[in-house]
Amino acid sequence: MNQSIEAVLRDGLEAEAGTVDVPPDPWAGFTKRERAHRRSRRVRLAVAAVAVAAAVGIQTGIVPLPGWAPGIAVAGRPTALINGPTRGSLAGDTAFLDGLRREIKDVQDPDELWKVGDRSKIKFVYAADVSGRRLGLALVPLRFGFITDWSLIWYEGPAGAPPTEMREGGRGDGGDTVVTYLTGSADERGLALVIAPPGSTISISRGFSYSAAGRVAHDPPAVFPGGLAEFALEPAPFDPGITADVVRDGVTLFNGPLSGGWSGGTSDPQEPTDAVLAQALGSSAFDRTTFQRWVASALHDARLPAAGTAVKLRWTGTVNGAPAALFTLRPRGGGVLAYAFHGSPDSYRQDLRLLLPADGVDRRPIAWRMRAEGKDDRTDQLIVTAPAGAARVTLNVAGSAPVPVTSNAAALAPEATASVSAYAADGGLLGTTPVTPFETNSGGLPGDDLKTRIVE
Amino acid sequence: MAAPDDESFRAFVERQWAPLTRTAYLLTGDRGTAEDLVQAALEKTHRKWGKVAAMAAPEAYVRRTMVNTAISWRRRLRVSEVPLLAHDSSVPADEYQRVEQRQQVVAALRELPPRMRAVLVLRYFEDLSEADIAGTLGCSVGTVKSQASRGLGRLRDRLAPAIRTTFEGSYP
Repeated sequence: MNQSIEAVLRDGLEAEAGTVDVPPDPWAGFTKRERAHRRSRRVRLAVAAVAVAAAVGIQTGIVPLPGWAPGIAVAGRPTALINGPTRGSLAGDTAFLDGLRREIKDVQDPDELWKVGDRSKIKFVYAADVSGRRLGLALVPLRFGFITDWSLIWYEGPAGAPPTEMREGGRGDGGDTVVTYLTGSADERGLALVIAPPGSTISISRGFSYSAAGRVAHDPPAVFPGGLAEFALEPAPFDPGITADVVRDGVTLFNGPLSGGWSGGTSDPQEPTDAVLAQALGSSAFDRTTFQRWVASALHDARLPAAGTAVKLRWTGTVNGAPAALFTLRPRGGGVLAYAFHGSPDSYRQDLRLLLPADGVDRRPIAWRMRAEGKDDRTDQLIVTAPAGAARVTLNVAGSAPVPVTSNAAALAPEATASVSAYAADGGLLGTTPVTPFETNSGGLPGDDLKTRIVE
Repeated sequence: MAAPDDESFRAFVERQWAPLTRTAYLLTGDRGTAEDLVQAALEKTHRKWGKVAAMAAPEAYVRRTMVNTAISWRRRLRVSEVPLLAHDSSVPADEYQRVEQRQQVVAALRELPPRMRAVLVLRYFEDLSEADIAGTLGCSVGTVKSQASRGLGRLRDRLAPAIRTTFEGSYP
C-alpha cells in the first residue's frame, strides 16, 4: 500500500460519509419525530402517576394528590437503579467511599469543563473487590454553568486499591436502569456483572448451542435475586455468548449480550484453517481469499470456533454483479447455519443467516430476500438456490398457486409470506423452506428469533 | 410566532443535522440507526436548549451526547453488513485500487469495538485532538492514544491486495 493507513482511513471515512443522503428539510422530520416521542413520554408519565397514586391509595385507604410524583416522573432520570442501599462487598466501607467521593475528577469536554457538582449528592450504586479487581459505580452530578447532567461513572483499580488509585473506566447515561460490565480473556478469569434495581431477578447464561432440531439452546442460567449479579468467568478464547435477562415485577428491563470486551490470545480461534477451506471449496473455482473472509465473518457472527465446525459450500454465483456464495456451518452434532454473502473479500454484504434443522438440510431449497445495493431499502429481489438432485423449484406465496422458479433470481413482495419447494425428477418433494422476513436487528445470535430460524 | 429560542434551535438543527448524521453513520454503519441517534441527541439538547445555547460550542455538547449514546447502544444493535460503494465497476484501474483500499479500511473499521471505532472516527473524520476525544468519551488522553494505536494496527493488519474474479452460478 502506497498511502499511509491514516491517509487511507481519512479518505475512506470521507467517501463513506459522502454516501449518506441528507434530507433537504431536516427540521420538518425532526419535529415530526419529536412530537411522537413527546407523546410517548406523556403516556409513560401518565402510567407512572397512576401507579404512584394507586400504590399510595392502597397503603392509606385514600388516593391523595401525589405532589411529589412529578419529581419521580421526570423522564429519563435515575430512579429505580439507585433506590436502596449501595451494593457490593465494599458497600459498608465508608472510609473508601468517602475517599473516592473526594477523588472523583471533573470531566473535560471539548471546550468545556464539566465540574463535579455537589459531592454530597454523589450516589454510590456499587463498590466491590470482585474477581481480582476493585470496581465502583457512582451516579455523579456534572455541572456546566446552570446545567446539571447526571452520569453513571465506573471507577476501576486493582483489588484493594486506595481511592487515589481508582481511575475512571467509562461513563453511561444517568438514566440507565440496568448497567452491565463484562471483561473476559483467553488467559485470565473474567467477570460478568449486572446491576439492576433492587428487587430485580437477573439470569445470566454462560453460553449456548445450536440444537440439531434447529433452535438456540441457551445454557441453564445462573439466577441472582436482589438486583445484583457478580459472575466469575473462566478463561475462554472468545466470548462464549454470555447473555443476561433482567426482570422486575414481571417486566423485562434488559435482555441481551453484556457490554464489555474480550481479550483474545495470540491466534484467532474463529479463523478457518486451510484444510477446512480446501475441503469446503473442493473443485470449486470460487476465490479462496473471499471465501476465507466470509467464513470467518460467519463464524464470528455465530460465535462458533473454527475447530469442530463443518463448513460446506452450497452455491456460488453472481448477485448484483458481484461474486456471491451460500455456505453452511455446522457445529458437531448441532443445527445447520446457512449464510449468504456477496461482494469481495473486504467489501461484502451478509444477505442471509438462517438456522436450520440438521435433518434433511441437504434436500432443502434456500432463498433469501435482498436489500437495495449499498442501501437499507427492502426490495422484491429474491435469490433462490436449489438442492442437489432438484429438477424443479417453486415459489409458494401465501394465498397464490406455486410458481415455477427457473433461475436464481425471483421476485417476492417484501411483506409477502412465502416458501420455496424443491422436487426431484420423479416429482417427489425433496424439501420446503420458508422465506424468512428481513432482519431488523442483527445484534443477537442467529436463530434466536423467527427471522433467523424456521422452527417455531 | 416562534420564540427566539425555538428559532435558534431550528437553525441549529438545520445546520448540524448533516454533519451529525454523517458522523453517526460512521459510528453505527447503519443509516436508520444513525438518524435515530441524531434524533435522540438533538431531542436531549432541545430539552436543555436555553442553557446549551449559551455555551461556547453547543455542537460539542450534542456531539458528546451522540457519541456516548452510540457506544451505549452497542448492545442493541450490531451491524453485520458492509455496504458496497455504488458505481464501483466504472472507475479506472488506479482509482479502482483507491476505492478498494477505502472499502477495505471502512469494512475493517466496522469490525472494531464501538469505543475504538469512535476514537478513530473522531480523530480522522472529525479531526478532533486527542484531548478533545478524551473529553468526549470520558476517558484519559492515554486511553485515546492506545485505542487509536491499536485500532490503526488492526486496520493495517486487515488490509490486503484487492482480488477480483467473476463466477458463474454453480453448485459444487
